[in-house]
Amino acid sequence: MLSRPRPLPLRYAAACIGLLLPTLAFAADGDPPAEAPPAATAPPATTQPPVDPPPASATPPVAAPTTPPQAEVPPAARETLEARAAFRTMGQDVKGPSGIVVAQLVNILVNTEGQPVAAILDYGGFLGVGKRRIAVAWRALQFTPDGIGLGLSREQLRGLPEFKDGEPAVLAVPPAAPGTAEAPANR
Amino acid sequence: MLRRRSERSLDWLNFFVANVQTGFGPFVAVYLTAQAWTDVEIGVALSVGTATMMLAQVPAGLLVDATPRKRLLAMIAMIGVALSAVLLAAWPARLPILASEVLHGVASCILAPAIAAISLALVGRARLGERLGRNARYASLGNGVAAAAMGSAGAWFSGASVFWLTAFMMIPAMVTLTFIRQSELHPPPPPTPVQDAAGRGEIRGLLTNRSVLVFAACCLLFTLANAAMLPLVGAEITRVAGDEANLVIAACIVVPQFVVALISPWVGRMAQSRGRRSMLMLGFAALPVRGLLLSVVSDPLGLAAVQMLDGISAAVLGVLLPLLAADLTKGNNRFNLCMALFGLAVGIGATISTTLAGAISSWFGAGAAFGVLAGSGFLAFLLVVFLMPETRGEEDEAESVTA
Repeated sequence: MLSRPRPLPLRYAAACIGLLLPTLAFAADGDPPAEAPPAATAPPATTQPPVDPPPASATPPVAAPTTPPQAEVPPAARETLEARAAFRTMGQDVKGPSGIVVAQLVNILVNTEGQPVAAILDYGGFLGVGKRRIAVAWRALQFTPDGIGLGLSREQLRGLPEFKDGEPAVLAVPPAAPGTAEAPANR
Repeated sequence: MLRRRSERSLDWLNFFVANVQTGFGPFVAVYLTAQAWTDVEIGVALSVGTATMMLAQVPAGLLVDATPRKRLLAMIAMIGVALSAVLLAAWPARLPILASEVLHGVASCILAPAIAAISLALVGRARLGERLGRNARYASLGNGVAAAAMGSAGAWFSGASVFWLTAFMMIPAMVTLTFIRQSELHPPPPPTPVQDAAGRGEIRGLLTNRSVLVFAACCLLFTLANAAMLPLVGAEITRVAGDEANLVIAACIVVPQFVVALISPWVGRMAQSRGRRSMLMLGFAALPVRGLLLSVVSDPLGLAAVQMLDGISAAVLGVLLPLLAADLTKGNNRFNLCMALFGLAVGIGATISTTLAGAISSWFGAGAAFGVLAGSGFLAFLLVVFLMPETRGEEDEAESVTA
């Protein structure tokens, strides 16, 4: 090549700076802000989400160093869960009555006693297009070693309004058994 | 005959590259959800990808313009995309995913202009319209085939399998690139030292060219209208359709791809023979009409039929964006920079689109969102009709008539 265009290195530099800016912005905001997670997911999680361990990890907390120098706080006891006794929930596929995957479980709503009352699902869609966030009653889900099952079909979930954070959730409830008065599938 | 072979290879190059890029759509969010990422983390990762794409457009355009070795650059970009897919599949931790998004953004910004530049170098300006039409045809075929393959892989195997498939698809793409012979390429002459010393002047010249600005605004408004329509339709279908929802959504994705595959070469030929404006008006008119129809039609089959209009406008924009960039940069070597400017406008439009449509849809409902999007599309149409000049040159017209 007889003459190399001189401004080229400048452009390379501009491109590199352009590349670095987003990653620098990420590095600047430090640890990932944990979304206010429902308390139900904190306890005996034997597996961790595959992110850098946030400050509150699954290992039991040691005595807080800021307590006034009174009687020593005993370290937390430990218990082990059988591998098959408890299952991961977040992000897991949810299968419909026909056995195909219809949704992903993205959040769990609990009451003040810590009992789960509803699950938030990313439902439907094809290759990510058209999925909707809906809330279903906890009792509509079955948890098995093969995965999570949802007892409501697509037809039953038609017209269910989307779940919006901060607003009262409209839950899809399994219909009452035949024989009693038919309760509507959606409230 | 060797020229035909290079052209065939370019066809299949577009096919395989489109295959690869299909995996990086909304499916990444689904995959990350399955990895138990929270909404905030997914949003950050995807925003990094979008921001990188926008920041990298112009430097990438400058880069592709500056180097005569465009095939090498395309090859490097393809390796980058494949690598980002492998990172997604093999190592879904926070930093590798961010690296993957950044890498994919930069590589895509280099790859698309490189392919357009190779097309221009292969066929020259007079036949560029038809060539771009063929590129668009094979790209939409690639999108359709990949959507089917990856949808099946995601359903039957795992989310990660989609990205392994994506990375694997890069191999045929690289093979087809090697079949495009260097001897067939006749790129526009590199800038003389005088021109190049005024490099900044060229960029400013491009930015003050009224037609460039007008068309960039058209692209922005068009994409603002277009980008959020399919997700909105998809959400509506999931809400109202029963068991056949997924099939209807798949039809809404496939029908436009089919239409693009069908009419793109015709659009390119028409743009050559009848001029650019007629095709622009056709494509830009289809968009607001589609927006209005989508807000009133609720029958799933009707929605899929309305999506044919999506195919028309997508075909027109897909062919005419690079074609207009070539027209407006005749005589200087800023083809890719011009394409990068248009690409930046498209990126900005897409970002505004999804945010705006999401906000309006949650406050006022989907119908209002479709109305606003259709309004933006109509604005783009008005810009095209009243402000956009015909950019086909006299000698192009003569050449295309005799060709």
